[in-house]
Amino acid sequence: MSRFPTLFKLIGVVLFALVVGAGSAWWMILGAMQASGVQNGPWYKSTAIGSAASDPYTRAQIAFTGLLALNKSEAVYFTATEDSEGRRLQGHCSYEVTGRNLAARWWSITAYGSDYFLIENDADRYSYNVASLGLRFAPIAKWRINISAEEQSSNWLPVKANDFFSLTLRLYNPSPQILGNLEGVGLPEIRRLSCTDEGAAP
Amino acid sequence: MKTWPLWIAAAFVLALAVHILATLLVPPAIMSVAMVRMADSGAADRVLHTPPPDASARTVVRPSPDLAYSICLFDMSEGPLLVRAEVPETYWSVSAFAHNTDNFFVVNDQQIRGDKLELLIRREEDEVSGYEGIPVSFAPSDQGVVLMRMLVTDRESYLELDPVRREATCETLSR
Repeated sequence: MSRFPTLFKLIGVVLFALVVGAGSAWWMILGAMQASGVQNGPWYKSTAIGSAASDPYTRAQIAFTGLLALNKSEAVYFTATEDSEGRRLQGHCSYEVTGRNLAARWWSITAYGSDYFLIENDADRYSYNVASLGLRFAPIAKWRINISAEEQSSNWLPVKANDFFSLTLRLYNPSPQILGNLEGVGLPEIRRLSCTDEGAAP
Repeated sequence: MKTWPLWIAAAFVLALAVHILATLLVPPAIMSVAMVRMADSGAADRVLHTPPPDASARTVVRPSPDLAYSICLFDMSEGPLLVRAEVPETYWSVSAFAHNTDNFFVVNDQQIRGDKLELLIRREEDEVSGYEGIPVSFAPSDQGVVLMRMLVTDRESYLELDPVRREATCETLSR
């Protein structure tokens, strides 16, 4: 008689298949994310999002991170999960996001919680855009957004103190100069100003 | 006879099957969940108009708070879909997505001649008479989503433009 009954072997095979099969699929999908993107300072753009995916890993990546997103001639989406020095964006820190007007028909910057949804706040403020920053008729004007869990005196974009967050920069109908130079076009800087120990994300 | 080589081989073959299935099933599964939520909200039998999303919006990740979305679902097994809409005077686009998440059609307000959009979404093999001259997009899957995005700059513009987008219709045609 075998030392390991058949039932135990069967359970072992199934467990191995589930863990290794699903884990390797997840690893390949993550790999597709990293392989198909463009990095510009702290901003990352998936070149797969909004496209008709060419392989199943890229398609799975789109399903996770860019469901129902538009193709890049219609809209370009950059996401930042880190500041300009490569440190993860955290709600217990305050940041300033600065830049100049961007060459697109419309652009906006939106904050999302770690669940990728809009962050609840009393001010009902989730984003700033070319109009709310007063830039529609000021093509080279500088602007600044203040990101913090604590209320700020101007251009406050609220985040949650005990959570990580990310920013999405959307450019609708971007200019050919942006489309042709996604890696090098000047994008906003994200500078960490200060942090508190309270509310640090786990 | 030693059977452990067979068990190890079986484990690797099964792991490969799980890998392939997980990768292939993730996109339609996520899309299905989103479509069920949209259908529950009424997008299956009419155009569902939602206000610009806030923190309570939980249907699709990373919603844009600057856009008002209008949504309808299609099912080519029931017939082709005729989309008709008035074009608002702001950024506005109509896009269509297959069940596997592929964005197979998009047009924006500046690309449309005139102030009305007409679009026929159908299977390549389906014949529909009486709608000649209307732009056609072929759906790569039976089920999918039509999504209209309208830019909202402030509350006043939303109140002004909302009635225009509400003129949109999605009609399932009989073959």
